[in-house]
Amino acid sequence: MGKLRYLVFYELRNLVKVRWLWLYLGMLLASNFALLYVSEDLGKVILSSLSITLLLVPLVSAFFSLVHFYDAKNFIRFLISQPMGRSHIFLGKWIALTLFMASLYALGVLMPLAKGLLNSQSALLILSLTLIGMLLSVIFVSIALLVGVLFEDRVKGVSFLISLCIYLSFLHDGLILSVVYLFRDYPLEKVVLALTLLNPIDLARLAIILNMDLAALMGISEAVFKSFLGSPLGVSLSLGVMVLWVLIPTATAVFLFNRKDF
Amino acid sequence: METVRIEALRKSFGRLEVLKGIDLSVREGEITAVLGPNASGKTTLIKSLLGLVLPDEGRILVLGREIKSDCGYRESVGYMPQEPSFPENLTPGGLLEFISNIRGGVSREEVGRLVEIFKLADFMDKPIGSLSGGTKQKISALLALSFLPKVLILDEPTVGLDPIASSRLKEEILSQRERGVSVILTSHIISEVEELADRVVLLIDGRVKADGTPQEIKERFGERNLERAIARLLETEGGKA
Repeated sequence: MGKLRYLVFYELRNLVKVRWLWLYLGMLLASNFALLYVSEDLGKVILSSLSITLLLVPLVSAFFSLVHFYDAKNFIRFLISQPMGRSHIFLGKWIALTLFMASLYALGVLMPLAKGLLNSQSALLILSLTLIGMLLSVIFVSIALLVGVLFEDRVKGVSFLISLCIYLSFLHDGLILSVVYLFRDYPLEKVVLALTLLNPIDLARLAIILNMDLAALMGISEAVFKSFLGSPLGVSLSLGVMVLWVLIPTATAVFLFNRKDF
Repeated sequence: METVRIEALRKSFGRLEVLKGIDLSVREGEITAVLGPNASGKTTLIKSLLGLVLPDEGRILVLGREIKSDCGYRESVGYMPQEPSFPENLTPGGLLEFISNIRGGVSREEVGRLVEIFKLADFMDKPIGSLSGGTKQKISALLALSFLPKVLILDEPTVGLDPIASSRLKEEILSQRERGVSVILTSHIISEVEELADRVVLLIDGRVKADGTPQEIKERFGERNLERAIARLLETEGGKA
């Protein structure tokens, strides 16, 4: 554990010096302050902030983590030549990146919306949004590191990751709509449910919207989740599957990292 | 005493078989130069010793410990890569502190001696990104030597060094041998190999084709010059220099 602690500390010290990450925090702060300036309705602010979160967090977390991983590859080789287990080297990077990206997100949301924390109802929504954004950060750091381990070639890795982010952000919903439209004569609830579980961005949106119980903003996935499971179970299931979205890519990446030739 | 033992080592990358059953042992206080043309398997062999590449078959023992699932042996190994790549925003002092935290302690006396030998005192607090390639190479040597290794692996150690630093590093390699350290080095500079190596191992196409002292290799081909003797061997084996 001692070596892992040193590695995490070292990684965090390096991340603090990356200017791009402070720019990311600046963007989160600016957008949330701007939303508060435009509207006094905290519910609307949180929903708009959720839209920004769903667009910005996956892309920034994933892209930065992957580039950071590729940049560190030669040093990773050097670390492997030191008396340190490969799992420690990978987990050191993963822990530092997830901690840092999730903390930046929390700061970017909680600082502008701090006033809302005084009210118990809005506090719950703000904390839900923060938790979901942090979880989304962790998920996309994990996916990015898995891509980094899988693809030796930087260009291929980055291209794949960007395509994946675009697919999950925009195309996956289109796929669900197409399935619903094409097979409208069949009972599709379970299919829609399964397809939704395959997209962490959909799960994040679902968890917040079900939590806020906003029928007007419910899409097909949210409606299916609500009718099938009800709000509390739907939120729990989406959070549970989001945790799986962290665990499965991370465990797979550690497994492959331990067997990889450098 | 034997410090490194490699038995029937095989490694393929996809369909390409890079190491085709290497058997090799390295003794205490011996400098072994691993030579060979490009794509002969030198780098894969070095990487296998360091745990960077995982062999398909065979085994490697360092100081009697099989390295397969044990990274602890690397506490006794110093490694100097051909192209050092360290975090640019870290200082050499910070990097040394970080590595010493991982490796569990460093001899301050030894660090002081090496900093003096490689004239690094003025650079220890500067970001690595601002240093020249040669200075980074000296830092790499400092990291490899500071932890009093029993096995030293040097991949083209003098590349990028000025003549003074290169000569100091070579003196240091020879003094490590006197301390009983086993040194494994790769180099394309044959004069350097003749100057340093007690033993030359020639790899061609993933196999050991020659193994002996530089004098033995020269005598085998009736050449007075090691470079020519190696060229003769490569020509007979159809290898590419």
